[in-house]
Amino acid sequence: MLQVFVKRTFRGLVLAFVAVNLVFFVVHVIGDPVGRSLPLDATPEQYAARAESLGFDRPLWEQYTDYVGDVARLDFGDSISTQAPAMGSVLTRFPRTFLLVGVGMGLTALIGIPTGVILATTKRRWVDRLGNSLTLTALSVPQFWLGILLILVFSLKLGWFPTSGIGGWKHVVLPSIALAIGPLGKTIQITQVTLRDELQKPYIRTARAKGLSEGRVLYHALRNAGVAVATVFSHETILALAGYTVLVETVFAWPGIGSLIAEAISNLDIPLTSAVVVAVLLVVVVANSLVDIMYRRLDPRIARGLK
Amino acid sequence: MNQPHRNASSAPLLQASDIHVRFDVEGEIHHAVRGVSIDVAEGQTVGLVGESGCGKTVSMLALVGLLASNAEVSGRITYRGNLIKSHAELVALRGSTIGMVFQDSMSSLNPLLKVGVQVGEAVRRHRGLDRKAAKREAIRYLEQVSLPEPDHVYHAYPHELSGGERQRVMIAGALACEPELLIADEATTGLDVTTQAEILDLLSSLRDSRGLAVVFVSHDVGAVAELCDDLYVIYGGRSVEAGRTSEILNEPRHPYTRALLDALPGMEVRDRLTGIPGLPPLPHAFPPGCAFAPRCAQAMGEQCNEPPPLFTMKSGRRVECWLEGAVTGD
Amino acid sequence: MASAILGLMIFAAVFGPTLVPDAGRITLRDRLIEPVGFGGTWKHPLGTDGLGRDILAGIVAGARVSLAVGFGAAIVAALIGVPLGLIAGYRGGRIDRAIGWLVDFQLAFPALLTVLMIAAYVQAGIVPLILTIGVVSWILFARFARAFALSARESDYVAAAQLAGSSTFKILRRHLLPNMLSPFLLLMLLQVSGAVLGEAGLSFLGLGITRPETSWGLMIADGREFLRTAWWVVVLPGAALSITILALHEISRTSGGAIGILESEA
Repeated sequence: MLQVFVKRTFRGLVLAFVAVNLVFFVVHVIGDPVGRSLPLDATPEQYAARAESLGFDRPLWEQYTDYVGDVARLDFGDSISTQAPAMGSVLTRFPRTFLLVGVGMGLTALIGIPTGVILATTKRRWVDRLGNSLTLTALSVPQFWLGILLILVFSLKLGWFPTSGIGGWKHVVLPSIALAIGPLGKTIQITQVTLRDELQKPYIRTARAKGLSEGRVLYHALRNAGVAVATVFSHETILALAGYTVLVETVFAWPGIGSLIAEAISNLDIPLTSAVVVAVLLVVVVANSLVDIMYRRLDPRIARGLK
Repeated sequence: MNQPHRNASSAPLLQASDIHVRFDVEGEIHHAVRGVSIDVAEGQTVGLVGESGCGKTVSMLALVGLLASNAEVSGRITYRGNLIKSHAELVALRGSTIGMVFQDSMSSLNPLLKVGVQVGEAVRRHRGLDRKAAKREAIRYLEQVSLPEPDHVYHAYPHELSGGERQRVMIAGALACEPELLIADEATTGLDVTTQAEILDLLSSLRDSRGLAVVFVSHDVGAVAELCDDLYVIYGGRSVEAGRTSEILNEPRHPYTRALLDALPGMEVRDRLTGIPGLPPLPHAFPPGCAFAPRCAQAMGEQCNEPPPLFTMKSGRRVECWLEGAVTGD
Repeated sequence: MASAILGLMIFAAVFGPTLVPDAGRITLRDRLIEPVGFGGTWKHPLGTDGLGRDILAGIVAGARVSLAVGFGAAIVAALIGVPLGLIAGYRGGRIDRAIGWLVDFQLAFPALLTVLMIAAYVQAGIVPLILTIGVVSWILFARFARAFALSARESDYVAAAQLAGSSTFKILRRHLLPNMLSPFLLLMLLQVSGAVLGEAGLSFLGLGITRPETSWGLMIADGREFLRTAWWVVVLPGAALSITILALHEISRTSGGAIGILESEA
């Protein structure tokens, strides 16, 4: 266990190092934040002045050592657009995204897994067909468009929920539904497919031969399908935490980490971008470690290095 | 209907007659079992032997209602003289009175559940015990199948045990339902010779101590024959020869039985080791008439294209072969 | 059905702009005209947007952008992923481990950040989108090709080719590639749908396609301010997008291979 932890931490550090270099490479080497922040008809003098004020006139290696030094001290400086400490905004924004992802993935699990179980075990053709169509639709509808449709119907036409922003629980409903749609489709699909597979396996026959109830037999299969379902589910959760909520947050003007990423990057706000990237990576690394621990609990064979 | 001979003292337990199983494989009908009849008496040991694909396992699964949903079963099954009228009644017998043990203990046990739990769940189901009592009982059953340190084994996962140990766990799981009849489907296949012998010893001692009736399903006549009172030789979805084991071993009448025994090493029935030429037919292409005819050294031409008649001898032995007709001049 | 929809979209992408020209023409006099059936006329069958641009023309022009980015990015991803995967699976050992590490890294690093940063700091537009989306989505191809090479390495025809003295490269090209064609095409379709969604999302955020080009994501973004009064400006481009994705998914699902590929991913 300790060994795994050390290994994970090391990998996390390497990952963070590469990521920080990637940011530097994109921003300072191939990118042109100076040019892109100026109007197209800016004069060379204006360009030089802006480059100097941003420190882009210095030698590249100097920019690099400064940058890496700041990042190593977790000192990202102040945001260019808001003048507030970059890390501060990250820390206020992340919990809101956690809330959204928590509710969204909760919905996904509560609806997706039972639906998958029903589809895997049904003998009725029409249930199977209907389920597959719904799953396919869920997989295909873009989150951000669904979000706008939800606003159109449930906020503007029916007036049940607010259109955007944060506040009470009502603000959470529509964005978390929009967020859940893709993961929902994937969860239903993986549950259905793996459960159907597991139900064909010999150990199910053994369970039935012992005269166990169908419920208990299903438990046997679910326990085994669980590993694949958990893989897909945690993958989706980690993606959402890694900023993939950006579209939904933009649609609903939800001030979470996703919309912060969009703001930082659109405004060419270098300190804020660096802070967000490092914070997101940290969350991803921690989340991946938690997933590893979960696997060990779900499948004893992994813990013994057999799989 | 003529029955093979059995111990006069024992009452009939399971009687299955004229069992047919048809599979619907994407619209194509595979007639895998074509009228097999089997009787098992209380405390009796019966062997079903034949090559893989001959229908021996399928007919046993049919008896406990464990076939896939694309299978259609017909025939007449009675248990302790009561006619089984529905699939639900069959399912009710499964576990509680008929236990089953399978081949390949690795895939036949749930890889993610402790083996003790897999034994205990049967106890809970059939006797309604609580978790704690079920655990005590599970450990008792693990002890009965001669697993060392049953408290310890209870907490093990299947991959942590050896093949023989897993097979014992599976037997314990079947015993935990307190069945009257145990069907062992290739229960020793894939184990090394020593372990095979141990498992067979275990099963025969359980039979003796609990008065358990046992059906051995095996492709290996040598492994099970000496334990069995009665033997059924299955070929092409039919029982081609059935009767007392000693009689069949001493004087096999069906050419397939003879070939099967010839193929056994160390059996002194014939003086040389021969395999059976050719491959057994597959369920979707059983030949009309005698299924064995294409491989039969004594095939009689045209005649064998017709289903062979059933000959029942005085001892109760049944043989399905045209040769019998030729010999006895029926 | 699904193939018909995809065919229609491809047709629109190829010939549409000549059939329905003037996607970007602004006619303020014709602002927010309803579609036919909701009060509009056949002059603008699907209505117009807030600047009087024809929605149908926009959807047709958007099809070209979406499919160009979708197929382009999938091809780029395949060009990177397939060779890496084949080599990893076929050669094994150190090369395999190195490529595996690359896969792990790519998985742990959110691709979204890279794409957004490149779009903002380097350049937006169709070609950068194709390249960046392609570069961040090679993993599935690599895994698929690796699994394929692993299984093929053990097979008879490769052993025979080795005995005959063929070079590794020749074996890969002559024996492996042709056999992996049909599952590969299914994987392509899935990747196309991913890239189409990616393009739409980025354009929606203003980091993908920008005016005067047009894209479904961009149309949805522009239409948001008229949501209360003119639903069609947002709903119709989004419907085109959803139907395209649906068609791609349906084709790969009914062709049977998609689930297998998804499983080997897990």
